[in-house]
Amino acid sequence: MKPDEIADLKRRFDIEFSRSETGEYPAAFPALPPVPVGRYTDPRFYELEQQHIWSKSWLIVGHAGELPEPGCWKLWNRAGFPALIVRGKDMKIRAFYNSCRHRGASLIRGTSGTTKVLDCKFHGWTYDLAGQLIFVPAEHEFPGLDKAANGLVPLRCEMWGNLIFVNRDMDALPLMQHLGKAAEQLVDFDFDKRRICAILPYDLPCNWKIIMDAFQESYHLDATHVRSVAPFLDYRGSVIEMWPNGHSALTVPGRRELSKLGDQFVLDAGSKSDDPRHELTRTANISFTIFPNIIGTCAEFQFPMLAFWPTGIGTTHVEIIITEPQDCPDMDPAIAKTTIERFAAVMQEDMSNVAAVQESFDCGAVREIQLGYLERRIYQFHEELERRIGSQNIPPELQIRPMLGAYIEH
Amino acid sequence: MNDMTKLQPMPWKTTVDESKLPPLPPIPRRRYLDEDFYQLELKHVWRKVWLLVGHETEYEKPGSYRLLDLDLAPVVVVRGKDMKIRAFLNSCQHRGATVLKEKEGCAPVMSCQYHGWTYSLEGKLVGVTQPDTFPHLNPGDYDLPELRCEQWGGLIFINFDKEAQPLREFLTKSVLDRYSPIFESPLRVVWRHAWDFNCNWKLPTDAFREAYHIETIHKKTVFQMIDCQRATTDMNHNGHDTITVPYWPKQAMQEGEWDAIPVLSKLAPLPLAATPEFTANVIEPNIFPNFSMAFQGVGFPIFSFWPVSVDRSRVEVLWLGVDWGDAPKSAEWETLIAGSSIVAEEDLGNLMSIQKSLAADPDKGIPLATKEIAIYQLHAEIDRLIGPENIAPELRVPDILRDFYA
Ligand code: FES
Ligand code: FES
Ligand SMILES: [Fe+2]
Ligand SMILES: [Fe+2]
Repeated sequence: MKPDEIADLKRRFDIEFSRSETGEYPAAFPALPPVPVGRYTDPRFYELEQQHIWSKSWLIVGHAGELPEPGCWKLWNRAGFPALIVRGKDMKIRAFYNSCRHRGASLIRGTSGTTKVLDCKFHGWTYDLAGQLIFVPAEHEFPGLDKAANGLVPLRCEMWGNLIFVNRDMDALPLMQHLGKAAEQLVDFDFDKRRICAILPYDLPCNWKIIMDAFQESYHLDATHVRSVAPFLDYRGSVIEMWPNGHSALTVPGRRELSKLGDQFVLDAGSKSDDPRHELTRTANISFTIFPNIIGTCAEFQFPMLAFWPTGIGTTHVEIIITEPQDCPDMDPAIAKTTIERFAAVMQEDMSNVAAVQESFDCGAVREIQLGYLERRIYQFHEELERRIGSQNIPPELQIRPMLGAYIEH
Repeated sequence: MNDMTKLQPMPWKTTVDESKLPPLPPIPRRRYLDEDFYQLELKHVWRKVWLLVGHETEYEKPGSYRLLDLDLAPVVVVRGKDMKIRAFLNSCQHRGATVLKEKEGCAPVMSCQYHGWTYSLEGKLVGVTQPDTFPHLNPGDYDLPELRCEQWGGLIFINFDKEAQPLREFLTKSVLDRYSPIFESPLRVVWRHAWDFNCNWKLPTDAFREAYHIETIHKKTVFQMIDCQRATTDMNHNGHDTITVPYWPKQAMQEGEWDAIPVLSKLAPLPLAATPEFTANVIEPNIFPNFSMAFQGVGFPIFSFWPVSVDRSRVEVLWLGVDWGDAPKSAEWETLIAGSSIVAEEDLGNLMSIQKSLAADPDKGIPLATKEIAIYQLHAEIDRLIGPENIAPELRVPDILRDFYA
């Protein structure tokens, strides 16, 4: 972050703190209308999400480091379509449906591996690493077959630094354009020079948005994270930046009595850095949301990114992808282990609420959600869902009204 | 012992004239297996009728609470500052987390662990974290949703239906007249326990609605004490009934072989214990939909049955005895409860294999003996509440017992 950006955030902390002392709602900020709970529980809404969100958004599928050489591939299937991600001879990473153009058998089985060509086990049609159909056994049996027109069906596949994203929608905005302001603001975290150091999987009994909501607001810090986070961060000074396309950031300042958050809290345990660009990751907590399903907490060295995948209307798979700079000296394994454990313990606190929330939503105990000012990112998220799905496609009782347009920072 | 000629005449006359009973059509197995039927039961039965959830002595002082872990909704039952016992959805009105987490305990207020909103013991929203960030919270709009909660003596019932008839009406005058002396007297919870089973909730319920199995399943236990051949059933409206099973004549009781015969106990007797009906019989009332008890001399277990999913259920046992005041709890309870648990295990041990065998051939029917008439009554009452028109024709249980209800 540049010095003026850091100064600006600090000024905004002050504004939030003094506002919270006066106990007044921010002048001119609209009161948020309640969000209908059906957006979390109604099968119609879930279906709309499948159609308009999961089939049309940029989804994180992996990291370039998983496919170091030409011919390295992985299969990915977390959003209802089987994707084959493969690195070509030209070093470019591409994605295809893992479906043979002949009669649709899955082209590759397993989870990952290395291959010279992509050959279907059913009848042996063979494709090169760029998806071109190069060999058809008994080709004379297919008079007039145009091999060039029968390559593998591609998916959009683009990179944010080292991170691989796919999109089924051939007309989608290019990934970097979709990220836009978010990528600009996060540029100092060097997404092109990070590697993955661990992935922790969780399966939760709740709609994917229930667990995402928990990471989009700081209002719960004192009650949910009494001993783990609350001693370090003061949520009353939270600054929220809402960016275009559903992305956003939340920066929660450290308690004023602490000059630095300290090893007990940050994932950068043991870091002695004083890189001025990263002042705020040492004295505050910065987290970001990338629409539709990534939430990360920034740090200079190690930090986690959470990806949320619906596995049903009321169940979610969460991947916690912990990344670190490629050139990061290997951490003392003991320290690395305790930081991950500490982080997992905080996660556990966040997850401890979600089953109950799902139950409350399911049984009708809560029919609409009243969001406060500190939870406005959740409303922003719903606005983006509304925009992508198209209000006209949503049953009237599940619609929300856009309120936050004027507060998006372009 | 099996010599029928020595038996004394029965002191309690059943209200059902068995000779007039029509033949009972078999119960379709799919009623225990079908997800749609299960959903109908949840909607029209479980969300509409009074459900027993415990006894007031479990809620000692203001703030004493218990959570009910039901498939229907998360519920907390709590005693207020005014000593009244209330039931609420355990569901914070902000974003729906639980306001109490431990299974039971005593709390000064109910405080949500997600963002800290706080409710009084009477369910009023009394504290909002950073209220300045919620400009439009009208006081009163976000109190905890309260459920109907009424008592029969010390027994606590809840009802999800705001419009439900009052508890006492639901229980019917004949049930109240017959058993109120017991429930309105000072009782105390001796023991509480719960088991989960992989079977539909009606299987354990059925097991308590007939005496037909006593001679086989309980050969070494209850059968030593009571003569199931002479058991009678009388049925009330709203699905309630009582099964009366006479004791063997004194000389026939095999004292010592099964040493948990409450009738021989030295503990303080229940009200009614000295009446002819109670001295001669074990009295087993079944209250629709979900609990059964077996009165015997000094105390009794209440078994309650809960749906968890179509093929999973929970059985809770609540043992009640005459309140022993400040005196220490007698060691004799241990023996009684141990004996009664053996019986319960005999009853419940079968259940999972039954569910599996029903599922193996789901289109068959379950034939019922006249002695199992209360099972038929249970099913007929379920259909009455659901409305036969809402039930697939092949799953219906026609109401043919109407005229036999007292
Ligand atoms: S389906 Fe792949 S070769 Fe036939
Ligand atoms: S969900 Fe209870 S305070 Fe937020
Ligand atoms: Fe959290
Ligand atoms: Fe039995």
